[in-house]
Amino acid sequence: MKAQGADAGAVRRALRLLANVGPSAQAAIPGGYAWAMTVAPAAFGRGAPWIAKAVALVGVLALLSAPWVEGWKAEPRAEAEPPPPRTLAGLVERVRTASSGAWARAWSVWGLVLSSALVWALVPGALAATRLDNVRGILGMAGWALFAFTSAAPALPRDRARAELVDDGSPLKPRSSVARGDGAYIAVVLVAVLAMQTIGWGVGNPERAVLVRVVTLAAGVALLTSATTVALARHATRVPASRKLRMRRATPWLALLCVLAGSGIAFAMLR
Amino acid sequence: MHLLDVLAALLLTAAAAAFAFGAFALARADDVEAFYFLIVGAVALRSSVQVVRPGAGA
Repeated sequence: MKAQGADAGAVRRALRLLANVGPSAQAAIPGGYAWAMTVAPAAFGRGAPWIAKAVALVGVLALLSAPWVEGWKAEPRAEAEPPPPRTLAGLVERVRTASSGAWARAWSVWGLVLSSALVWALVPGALAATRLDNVRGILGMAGWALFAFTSAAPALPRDRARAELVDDGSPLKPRSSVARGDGAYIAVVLVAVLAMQTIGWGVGNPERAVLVRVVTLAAGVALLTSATTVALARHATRVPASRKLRMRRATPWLALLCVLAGSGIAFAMLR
Repeated sequence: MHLLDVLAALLLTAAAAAFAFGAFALARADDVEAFYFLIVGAVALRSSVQVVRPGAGA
């Protein structure tokens, strides 16, 4: 129990330290990693034009200079102030009064993403399966995912005035806990979804390689969504449906599944 | 755990397997097989959700 408390304290201290670094600096770490894994080999590889090298360096510059942009203008919009209307004048007002954090995030995200896209467009052969190592591709993908996550939801600095109102040691209880079995549902499906991402890295044709990635990503999203629905449905207050209704609802889909499975088996046997 | 929950979990597993087979077939450039498995996966996924839908408002 004491060890658990010490662990929680250490995690809290680490998160506080990370939050004090600033959102742009946090995003620069996974962004730099993703850049090193997927952009640098393309831009600085054999046969890459000088313009690709220059554009790739712009991406690094965006990441490194974003923390400086963040500290450039320190007055964010007042919380009580209503947002400007969704007109051209409102848009101009939004841009004019945007906080330094918003500018830094835009510069960091768009600077890196656009420069990387331009590098890949200038050196299209760099992403071919014959030149891209499987492990490096997967690690690069994880780096981009972390960069997106850190840019969208960085650890925020502690608001001292508000923090004083909350007693860290107060016995706050969560409103609800994750029901037993839900974690297993999601964990199993998550493993299946991640395993699906390992398929198709050796495809030689770039168009087909992209198609395989798109299909596996779409299948993964669909699986996760359905798994969540199925897991949550176990806890819903069950209103018993009549036998007729259940039959009418489930039969078409199950019948279609049986027809598809039967025709697949028949086709495989005839071939 | 209801029998319907077990059936839904099985259908979900079948959908995951079908999607994986479909992706493998797509990578092999076997388009007919890929299309077949992806449709089977989609139907199995839809069935799994339909099976656990509550009675009210259906």
